[in-house]
Amino acid sequence: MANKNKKFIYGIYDDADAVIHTVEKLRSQGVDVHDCYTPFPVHGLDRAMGIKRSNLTIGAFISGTIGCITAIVFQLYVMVGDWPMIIGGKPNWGYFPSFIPVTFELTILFTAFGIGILFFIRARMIHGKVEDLVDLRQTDDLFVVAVEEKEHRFDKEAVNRTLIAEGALEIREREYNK
Amino acid sequence: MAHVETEHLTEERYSMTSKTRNILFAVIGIGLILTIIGIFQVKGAGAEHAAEHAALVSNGHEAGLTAEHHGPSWTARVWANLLLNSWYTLIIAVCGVFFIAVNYAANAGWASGLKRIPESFGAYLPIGLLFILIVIIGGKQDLYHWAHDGIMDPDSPNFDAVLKTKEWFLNPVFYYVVIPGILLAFFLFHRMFRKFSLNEDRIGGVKFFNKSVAWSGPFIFIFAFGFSLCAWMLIMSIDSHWFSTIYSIYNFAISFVAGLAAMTMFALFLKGQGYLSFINKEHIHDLGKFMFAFSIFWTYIWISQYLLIWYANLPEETEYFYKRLDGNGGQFQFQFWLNLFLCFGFPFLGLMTRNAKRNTTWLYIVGTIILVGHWNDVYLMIMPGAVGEMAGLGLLELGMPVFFAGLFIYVVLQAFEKAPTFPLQHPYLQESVHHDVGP
Repeated sequence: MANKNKKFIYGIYDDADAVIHTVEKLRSQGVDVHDCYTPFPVHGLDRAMGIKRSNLTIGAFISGTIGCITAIVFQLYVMVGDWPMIIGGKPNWGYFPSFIPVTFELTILFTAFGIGILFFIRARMIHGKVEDLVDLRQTDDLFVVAVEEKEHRFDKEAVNRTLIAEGALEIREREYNK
Repeated sequence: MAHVETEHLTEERYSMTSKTRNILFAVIGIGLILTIIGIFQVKGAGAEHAAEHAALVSNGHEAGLTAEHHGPSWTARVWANLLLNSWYTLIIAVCGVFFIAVNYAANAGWASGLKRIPESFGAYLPIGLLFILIVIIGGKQDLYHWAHDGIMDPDSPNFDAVLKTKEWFLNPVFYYVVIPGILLAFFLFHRMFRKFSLNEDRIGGVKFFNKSVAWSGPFIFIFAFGFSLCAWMLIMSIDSHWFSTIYSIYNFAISFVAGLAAMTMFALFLKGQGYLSFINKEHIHDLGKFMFAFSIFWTYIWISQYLLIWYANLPEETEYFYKRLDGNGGQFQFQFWLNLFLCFGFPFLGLMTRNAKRNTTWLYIVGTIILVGHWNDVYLMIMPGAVGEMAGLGLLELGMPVFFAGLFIYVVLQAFEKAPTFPLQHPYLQESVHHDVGP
């Protein structure tokens, strides 16, 4: 039976540029970098890791559209369909301007909430989840490069050598049970 | 930082190719010819119009024609067009100076490599001022109702008590002295920023950068008030009885979004010519974002003005939109709704995706639509009040913008020739070169 445990090698650095170089070097050697953990966004790191553009913007657009439609439908239902109201002598049907502020605000509200919720789901940051840090200081001043140890065609020694050559402070290994 | 990547850049100068020059001269010439033909057309139409009225009057339909109907003559249309185009190009030029000042004040570095483009916009300011002066002096009677004889004089039959209360602003001192003075001040500020920038190229160091930062604050302050006064006096006072407190911001929104569209297209053009090689998709992307964002800003201001007037429904306010929507049997109605599409709908949907903002051809198209749309926007601010039923879209309205566009591009490119294409000693140049908006 195949081993379902996942093994990771972590290189810990104290310099953002060294992280970028390590990632570039590893990828040029054909090693997939699993992820990097940094205390702040490092410019150029996502390019170096070859991360594809997030689909979050599409989610934002869809949530915005839902908000826009919700606002229009709700207002039409309330102001025109269910209980027609004339306020300030304005026609309740056929003139749109008074709907615009609510439509505008609800579009923004739905977009903001939608993108926030989708982000938390995508990043698996559910409330109450216990953090699983490689090193506590990765939230302060250290940077972590994580490489998944594969079963086949994986030269652990070479990866270790590269990590050290690029200036890793220490190297750790961990195993996760799926 | 452990390592700093610096790109080695060498001074680069732009020189207009003879092809560009010839095309621009041809554009200016065609525009001028069309304008002249247009003026004669308008004059002919004006004569017919007058004849019609004479016929009606002689038939005894005097009531409501002679007394009320001293409508605008054909010259009003010519002056209104001149005001429209000179104001539009002027606010685009001012936007260049404002853009530089804002970048200094905000300590923003990404655009410093592009800085010479908005800087060159300022070179158009004296020409814009000249055109405005021509309009101010020549078109006063045709354009501004408040400037007619006797309006401010209680003994005159033309006396208008409402306008009398606005005399503290609508008077010759503001009209002839303060407004040109403000425009002159904009130009002097431009000269000062330009001088700092050129000295920085020559001498280097951060001294001139710090000076620019220090002066950008006062400029923005003066710009805010001065631009508002100009918008009120030159454009809003056409509809003398009407006023809107958001009007100057509305004009500023037009200025900024049209200026950014022009800047983007200049950057794309120069890059296409092989200059500014370090300008890449990242900078273009940010300019596209700016165009997108300020199209929405414009819409926000537009709806704020429209919505409040529509909702409050006060006759003295709705007059403005009545003229534009239903006046003269809906003469401007199509343009009114088209305006929303060109200035909001199209840029909003067209620039929404990331790829759209990074596509050169598409940005040319959207930039052109934005510039045409906001020309139409200014048209709608001026024409219904100043020209009314005599207004239209003819050769005059086609030729004059062509002439002004050619002139503006020529002046800007010529100013661009006079200095290196990017400020080599600017402290933020490397930041601009390595600008990256991420994947």
